[in-house]
Amino acid sequence: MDEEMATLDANATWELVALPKDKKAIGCKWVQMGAQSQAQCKWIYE
Amino acid sequence: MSKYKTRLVAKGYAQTYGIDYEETYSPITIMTTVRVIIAMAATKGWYLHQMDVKNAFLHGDLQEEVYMEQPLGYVDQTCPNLVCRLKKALYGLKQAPKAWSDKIGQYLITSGFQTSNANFSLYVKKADHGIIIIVIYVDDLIIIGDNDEEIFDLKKLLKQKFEMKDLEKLCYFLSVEVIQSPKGIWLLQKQYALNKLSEYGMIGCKPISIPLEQNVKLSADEGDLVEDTTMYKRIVGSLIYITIIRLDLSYAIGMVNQFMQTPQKPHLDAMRRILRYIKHIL
Repeated sequence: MDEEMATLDANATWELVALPKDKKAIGCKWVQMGAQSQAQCKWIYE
Repeated sequence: MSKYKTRLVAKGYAQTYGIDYEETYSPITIMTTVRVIIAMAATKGWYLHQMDVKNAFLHGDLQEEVYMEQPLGYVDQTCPNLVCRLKKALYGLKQAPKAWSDKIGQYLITSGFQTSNANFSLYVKKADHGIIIIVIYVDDLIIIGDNDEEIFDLKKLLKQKFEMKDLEKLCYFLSVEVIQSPKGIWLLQKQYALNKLSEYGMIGCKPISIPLEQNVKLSADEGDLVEDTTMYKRIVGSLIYITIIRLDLSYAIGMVNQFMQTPQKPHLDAMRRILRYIKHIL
């Protein structure tokens, strides 16, 4: 997770802003997956 | 199973068309193009190079205004009420595949490549001293060309720009094994076929040397439906994938493919026979 976060930071994926009144923010979650068979081995935790 | 990747995934299903996403279509290579490229390399005696992009979708630029909540566990302590205004694409976003393919497409076009009219994920660059052809399958690139120096330079540029991994020799692409030798190029789907056979419980079956029974006529009303029609459809899908290499199976697979809607016992028998034949040819 820290690694992914570091990549996202380095990439300047987003900036923190106040949400404009007429906009909606979508959610996100962490998904962990096996490097081998991604379709079958998927653990999701919110 | 030893390595796990963790990814931050945006809940793209919460996006609304016209507000935080517009166009989502992104082109993809068909297997025919890949086959043509491999055939070309074989006749010209060229070497097939492969490259792989790390975190491909994170490179795409977002045109739309997308807001996302701060990721769990990494919420900014000083201002937890702020949200993330996304600049780059994230996995899960509806436009992520398009954003990525646009990005790499633009980059290749600015470096002198042209897209093919027949396939938009095929890029060709003709220079004074050679030609380079690239096929892109999302984050996998196959590169061929007649000038090794040019390819080397291109790879270096791509590595700098997109954090790519150079796999050098193409040996595995979309579960097709590729063996390159001075005598020619071999394509194999042995591992794929084996995996599928064990997945469908046919790994211990008795091999048979002919894929279809002689003079067999299958029709749509032969009796009771197969219990698990979804499984039937899945197996047909896998069999069609095997025809990439085993073109001789096309007819037999076409037969069982016709009864996808209402698979019945004789159709299942025909399918089992194809699976037994596949074991025979492995």
